Amino acid sequence: MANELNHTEAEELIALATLGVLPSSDGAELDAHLKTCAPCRETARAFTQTVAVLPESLDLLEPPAALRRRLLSAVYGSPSARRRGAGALVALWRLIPQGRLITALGAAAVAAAIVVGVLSATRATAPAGMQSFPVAATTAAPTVHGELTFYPATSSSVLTVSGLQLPAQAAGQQPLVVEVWLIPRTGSPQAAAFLAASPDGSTWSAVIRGNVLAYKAVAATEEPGNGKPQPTGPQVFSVALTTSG
Amino acid sequence: MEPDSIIELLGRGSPEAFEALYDRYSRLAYTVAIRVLSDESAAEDVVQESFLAVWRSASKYREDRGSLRTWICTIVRNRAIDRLRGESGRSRYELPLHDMTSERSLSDTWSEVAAELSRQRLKSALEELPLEQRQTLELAYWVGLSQREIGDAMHVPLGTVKGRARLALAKLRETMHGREESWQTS
Repeated sequence: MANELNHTEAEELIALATLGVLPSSDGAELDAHLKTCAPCRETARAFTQTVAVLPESLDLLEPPAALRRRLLSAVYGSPSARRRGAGALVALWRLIPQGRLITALGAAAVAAAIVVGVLSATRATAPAGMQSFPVAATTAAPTVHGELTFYPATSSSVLTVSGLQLPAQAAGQQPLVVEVWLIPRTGSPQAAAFLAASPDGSTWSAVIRGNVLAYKAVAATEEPGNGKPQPTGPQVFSVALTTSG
Repeated sequence: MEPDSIIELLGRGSPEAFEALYDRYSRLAYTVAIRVLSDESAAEDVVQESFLAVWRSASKYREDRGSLRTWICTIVRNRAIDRLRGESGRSRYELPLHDMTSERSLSDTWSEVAAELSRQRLKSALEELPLEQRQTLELAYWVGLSQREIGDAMHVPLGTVKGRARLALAKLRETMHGREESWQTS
């Protein structure tokens, strides 16, 4: 019974399946037919490939820049990305012998080795020309602290902030986001990124693309919904980008 | 960064690979979402959800089901249609392509053909379809109507919907293949 589909009937179901409108419940009969019918398997391949190019017929549209900023902030601030960043340290820990033979003396030696190793690794891996700037709190968010680190090699900066708490929004109101701005020496602030919270909400981070040293400062404001093209909410912190010398 | 490297590095949790992925496919993803939803804000949400889903499940990507580009388009389209129709996680039958041979080489060949096809030529191939076949294809692919709903919308029986869908894809395939061959010999 399962193999009673003829080629035409099978091709009709294949067409619906490749267009994404064949319910799972209707797939068993087609599955059985495809197992025994090479020409229909070829048709399935051909139709799949044909449907795959349908989106290419559309004139491409540019997504809003804010969408990119939101996504990159979320991804760079995600636990897996942070774990990856900590990979060198994890690798170092793995060099340490594990198990019951480690004595107290051995453990102390290992601890000392870790400190030396971490310091060496930090020195060895610290990118040349890297510069860090402290985050300054504001009266709107007095407990905020953190750091912005600029990496000239990749022309990008990582902003990490703690002690930030957004006010709760009433039901029906848009949730607040923290939008990060580049403050030029002259002219209006430029939207740069959104801060993304760690899962426990204790740390916030964002990646800022480009050379921040060309700007006077970085600042952050609370903004509703998907952010604003210009700052409108209270400023929650700032980072003065003054370089030594 | 090439698609193979992107997917490999994404599997290792590389945010740089995600950035490359977004820069490569975001325009297509956003365009697909807008085509389905006709709403910029909803399309943004769908693209955001889709890329985050890719970030979280890059290890589930299966090369034998198509290119990275196709995978992303499928995720965006399915999510957009679920949103449009208020159906989350609707069960769709997926062809068992892993059972088929020569899958990869055909996909690669077709990807090259697709790259060669100018947007205008693909549009022309679609426009050459008889109106009722093109409408059937659009209602299924871009609106996500079921075969029964398409039949109701077009006032035709179920069998006619199935037949039109088959003929539309067969003709589109034939037209595009014919052009591919004519380009290669010209």
